[in-house]
Amino acid sequence: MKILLLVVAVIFVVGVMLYNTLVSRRNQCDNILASIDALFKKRFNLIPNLVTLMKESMQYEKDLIEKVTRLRTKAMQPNLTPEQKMAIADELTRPLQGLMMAVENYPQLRANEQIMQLMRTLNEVEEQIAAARRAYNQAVTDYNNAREMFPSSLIANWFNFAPKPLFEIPETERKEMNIKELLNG
Amino acid sequence: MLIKSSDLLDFYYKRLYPELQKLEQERLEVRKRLIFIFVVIGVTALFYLVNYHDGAAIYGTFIITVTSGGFAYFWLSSDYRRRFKDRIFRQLIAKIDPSLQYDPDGLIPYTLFKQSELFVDAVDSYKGSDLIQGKIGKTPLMFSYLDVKKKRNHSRQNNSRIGVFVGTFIVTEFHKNFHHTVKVYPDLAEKYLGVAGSWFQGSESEKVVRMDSPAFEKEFKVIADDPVEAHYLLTPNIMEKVVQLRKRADAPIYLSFCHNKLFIAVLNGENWFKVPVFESLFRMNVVKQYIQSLGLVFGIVEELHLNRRIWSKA
Repeated sequence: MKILLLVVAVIFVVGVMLYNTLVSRRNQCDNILASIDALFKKRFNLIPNLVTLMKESMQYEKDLIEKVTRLRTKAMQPNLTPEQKMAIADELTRPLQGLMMAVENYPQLRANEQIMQLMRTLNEVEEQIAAARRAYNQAVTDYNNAREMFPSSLIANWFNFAPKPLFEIPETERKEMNIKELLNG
Repeated sequence: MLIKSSDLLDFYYKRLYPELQKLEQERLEVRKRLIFIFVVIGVTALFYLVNYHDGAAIYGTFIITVTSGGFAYFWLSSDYRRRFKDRIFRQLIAKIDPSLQYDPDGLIPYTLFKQSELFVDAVDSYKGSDLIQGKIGKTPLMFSYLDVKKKRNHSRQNNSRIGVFVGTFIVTEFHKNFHHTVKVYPDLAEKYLGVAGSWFQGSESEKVVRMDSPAFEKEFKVIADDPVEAHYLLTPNIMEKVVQLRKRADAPIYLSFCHNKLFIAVLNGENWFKVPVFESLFRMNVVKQYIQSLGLVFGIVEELHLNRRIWSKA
């Protein structure tokens, strides 16, 4: 009888530990997702200033400026799912980088310290977003592994720990951007 | 590397070789004296042990022999070693970059060692030498040999010390803004136990952050409060370069990003700038090793793109 009680106690303790591991890994994913959200907001707050400063001088990039402004407004809508936010953010990356690279053709913009500082900050935020995506994907991989591996898979199925999807890293983030050379100069 | 290795080779033959010839004469003289002193100490110890060979006498003789041998070594070779450092290291470092400063007796200040948060043991002895500092491009860099020890235990009977860190300690400025400390330690669990080690690592602490580079994860473990910041500082490029650095240094490597600085501790267990006393100075290997070690440290700035100023921290 004592042995049986001991076995049940050990199984219970192990079960609690596995449950807690799954919860902490799920929370880790949610925390990083919240960080990504905060970084998106930081990015959106920078765009109006940058657009205002660039609009005057950039004659041939009106389409890019318009696209960036439109996507920013779209991304600021309430009640968007994380997947939708991520999709709009991906869509915004390319025109935003295009806009930053176009500065190369406008010496008066390159000489403007306010614009260059804004671009440095934006570049920093872009890199933070890329890092947050990597951190999220790693956290999701750890979480999904835990929920699929035995014996934690038993607990995961019992308590309905749903799998989480990985974010696709856009091709633009994998490449070394020319913008770095522009800012470095 | 700030200067081509072919230029350094040229410099070796033109400038360093004549100096090495003079120093080699001095080294042979020092070696001769040291051998004589060692023989005298050895014969005296042997004579003593023939007459008194109980346990306490053997132990006492051993301690006195080693201490007097060590004292003789440092006393007789100190002038030669100082001249070697002045004539060879100083010239070599000035050749690499004239703005670099070399102080044979200098060391990384204890406050900086402590600031790195890499080694948290209570330190009992903090020594070092061969401080080199200056700027590589826009990036300030300083490094020295450090020999840091702590007491083995706190009992009064046992005052022996064990090493906390023995090797090369590098401090440089990091070009990105960050708010939390990120520390990188050698990962012995995952390296030797594989998947079981990574499971153990995961259960060890909440602060362990798993990175997205298998090669890096195999060698290192990352401790950070914020996983996003850890990924921001440790980009795929930096992780790849840190793995390469660890291979080239052939020693455990510790990194710490804190107080806007990057601290790198190479636990190589010896001074890279040790002056040879019992080895011929004409062996190309001697100078080659110094050049390689300097190249390894100065190369960090280039390899990790620390001179890039593309973030808001201008």
